Amino acid sequence: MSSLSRMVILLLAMPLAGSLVTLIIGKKKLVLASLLPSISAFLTLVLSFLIAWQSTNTSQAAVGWEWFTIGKQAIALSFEFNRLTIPLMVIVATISFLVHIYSISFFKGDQSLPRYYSTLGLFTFSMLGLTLSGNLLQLFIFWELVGACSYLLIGYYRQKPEASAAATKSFIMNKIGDSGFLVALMILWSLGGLLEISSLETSSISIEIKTLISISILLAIFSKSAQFPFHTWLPDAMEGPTPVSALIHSATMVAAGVFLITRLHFLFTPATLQVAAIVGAITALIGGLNALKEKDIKRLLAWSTLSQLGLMIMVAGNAGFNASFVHLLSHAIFKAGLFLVAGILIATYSNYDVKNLSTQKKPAWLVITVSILCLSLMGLPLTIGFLSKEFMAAQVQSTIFLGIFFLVSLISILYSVRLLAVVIPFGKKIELEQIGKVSISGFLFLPVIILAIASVWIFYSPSPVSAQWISEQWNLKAPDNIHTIFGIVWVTGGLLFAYFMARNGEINRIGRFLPAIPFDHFLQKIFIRPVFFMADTSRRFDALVLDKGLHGIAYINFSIALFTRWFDENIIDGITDFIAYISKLIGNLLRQFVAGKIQSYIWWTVLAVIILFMIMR
Amino acid sequence: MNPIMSLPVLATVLFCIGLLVVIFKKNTIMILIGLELMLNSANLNLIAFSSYRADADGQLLILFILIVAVCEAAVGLAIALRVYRYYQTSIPENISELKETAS
Amino acid sequence: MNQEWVLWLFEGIVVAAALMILFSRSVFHAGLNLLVVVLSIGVIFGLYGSEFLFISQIMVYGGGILVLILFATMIVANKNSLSSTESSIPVLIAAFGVIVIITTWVMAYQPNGVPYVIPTPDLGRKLILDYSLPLEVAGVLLLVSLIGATLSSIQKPVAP
Repeated sequence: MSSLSRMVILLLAMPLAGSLVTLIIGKKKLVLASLLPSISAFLTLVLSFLIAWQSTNTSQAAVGWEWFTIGKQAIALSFEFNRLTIPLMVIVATISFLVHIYSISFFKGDQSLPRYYSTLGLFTFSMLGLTLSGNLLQLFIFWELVGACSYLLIGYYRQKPEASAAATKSFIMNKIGDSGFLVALMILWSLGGLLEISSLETSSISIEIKTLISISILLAIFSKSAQFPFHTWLPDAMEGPTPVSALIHSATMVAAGVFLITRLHFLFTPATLQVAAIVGAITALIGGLNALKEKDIKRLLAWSTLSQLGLMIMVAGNAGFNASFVHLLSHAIFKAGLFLVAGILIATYSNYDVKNLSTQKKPAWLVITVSILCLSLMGLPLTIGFLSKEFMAAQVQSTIFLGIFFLVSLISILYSVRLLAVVIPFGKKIELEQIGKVSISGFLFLPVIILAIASVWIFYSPSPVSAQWISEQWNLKAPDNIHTIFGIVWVTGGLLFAYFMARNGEINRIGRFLPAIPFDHFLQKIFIRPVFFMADTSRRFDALVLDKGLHGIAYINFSIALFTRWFDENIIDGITDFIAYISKLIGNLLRQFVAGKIQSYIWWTVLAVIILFMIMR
Repeated sequence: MNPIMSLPVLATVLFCIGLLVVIFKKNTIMILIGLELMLNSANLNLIAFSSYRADADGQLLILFILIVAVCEAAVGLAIALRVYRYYQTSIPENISELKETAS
Repeated sequence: MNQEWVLWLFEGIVVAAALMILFSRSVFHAGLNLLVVVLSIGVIFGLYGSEFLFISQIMVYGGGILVLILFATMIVANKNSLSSTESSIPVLIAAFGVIVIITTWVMAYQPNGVPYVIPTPDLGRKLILDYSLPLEVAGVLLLVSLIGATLSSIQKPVAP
């Protein structure tokens, strides 16, 4: 076995082992429950770097093992290393490790900590498996696992009924999409067992079949990446703990959809891409507009994630696969950072509301980190957000979608400034409360600072406005100067506009012009109520008809039993009683001879004599 | 019916009635009365057949039966008195020391 | 004969009085009915030509046995013996059935003949001459039973 395959096995085994060990030991020693998983996550991170280095050095594309055979088709366990899988693997391992560190301090003294860390480890394992999979069946297995871990982690707070409701909703919506994945798998299998992604790329399948397959996969992508109409689960998923939201629902799991569309880009026909683009655009708009109205800071971030995902899908639908993948990577960094910072804010100032959070004076480092992350979200130059957004914009050919892109960009700026208003007091008239020194544990702010620093452009390219390295690696068309300048102007102008709105205190009141679209309510009425009605009807049918049938049979049984008892009591017992009665009579009769009554003696003697005479006659 | 024949019939009836009295009456004295009835019925029979056979022996037998009946009545009554004194009851049913009990 | 009705009459009286004994509720009444029975039988004896036996019946039964019976009744008096109620009617009915059976059996005999009256002097002569031993034995028997009955009914004098 080559060293690379050994490392892959270790990479996958590490978080899984950590998860199991934490579950078993962690219950006994709570202190170990936080330490072991963090060590496991760190080792996973190291392994991911090693794999990345090794595979680029040896330029080995894949490792694989024989798995099983059905009929004549052989299915293998395979892991691929290319420009898509390796970066995502590193990002997943990094953010997982940072979230582990963060969780050490976030969950102080929580009794069910072992359960949390083990599920987190399981998630890391599943996500890494998903990223590296070279086989669609294998990928599907990890896809499902990731959905299950998401369910477990959203519903982590068992006492909250909203949490379990949100977990159920996310899982069911995911399942709807997974049916699409299964249809695609079935079609591919019937085409001759074409499950290896590398072999799929080179195979020839007719356009119609490709459309069918890609539409099915698109369904899975929509549900996993929370696109319209499967988007309602993502804001509700914020019921889970904040580190979970950071890891799963901003950086990794929801990005799996975008990752998949990029991996399987050769399957997507223009017709499918059209659908993807429209749905992505709608989602982006919905996400952005809702983010303008939202008061809860975590839900605001969730709507923002929704909007960015929509943008990614829209760009992918315009055949800009690699560009959306790059944005996926950069979005993962600053969105995870924003979620973690939101967790710090909520914990320290005990408030969910964006407006209420902005009334206290914040420590300087918090202000700086939040600003960097928000600017990255906006896509301001000097951040990676700008770089990736530029690449995306360059890929979009159609004017309509470009227009939507810039509109969404503006909306992102507006809600990002809302977030910024939490730490930077825009309106001078408002006096800030002076709170004493706020002490935040090192474990909490270290990941945040790392992610904020990672959002700065310096590490990726010398120029703040374009990245040569990125366009080389992913074969992206670099945006030309006009586009770049337009981008800078647009973003800066938007920022100024937002700044003036924030100064007037208007920024939090933008949302009041927007109507509240109760999409969830609509879903409830059209889909959920009829299903419950059918379930109720079948239950009533079961109770009435089937149970009545059972009762009838029981009744017949009972009647037979009663008849048997009557028969036994009266007839059989009657016969025995009769025999006993006869015996009693005979006994009574014979007793006369020894009863001690003189007169009966005389009587019987006379009778005997008479009979004797009669006989002797 | 023959006038001679009527006597044995009467004797039979009288005998049966005497037997019934002995068996079904709940007094020791009544038993003795029944006995007398039975003896008298025997006498009736005798007189009938003595007349039929023109034999005086029958009538003499009647005389002796009469004598024996007297003796038996006297002794019987004495016994009845003793029994009454001993068992404090004149109901024959209650005098059941000879009764076989389950033992 | 036109005097046959006398026989039938007294036979009827006998049966009637016997039934009265059977169905009487008190011993005393039974005793009195016994007297009637006995006297009627005596009459029948007389009708058949033995006045000696007739008179003997009256003297023996009427003067002796009945007196004994009545005295004993009064001595052996229980509260319930004076008015004893006999039940067991079905048994009585069965017993009557027995009577009927025996009577019909007896009536199967139908002898032919004419009744003959024996004169009393002949009876006396036969008694003294042919049956003198049974006569003496009978006397002894009477003596013995008299003494025995007296002895057995002696009661220890009850202290007042």
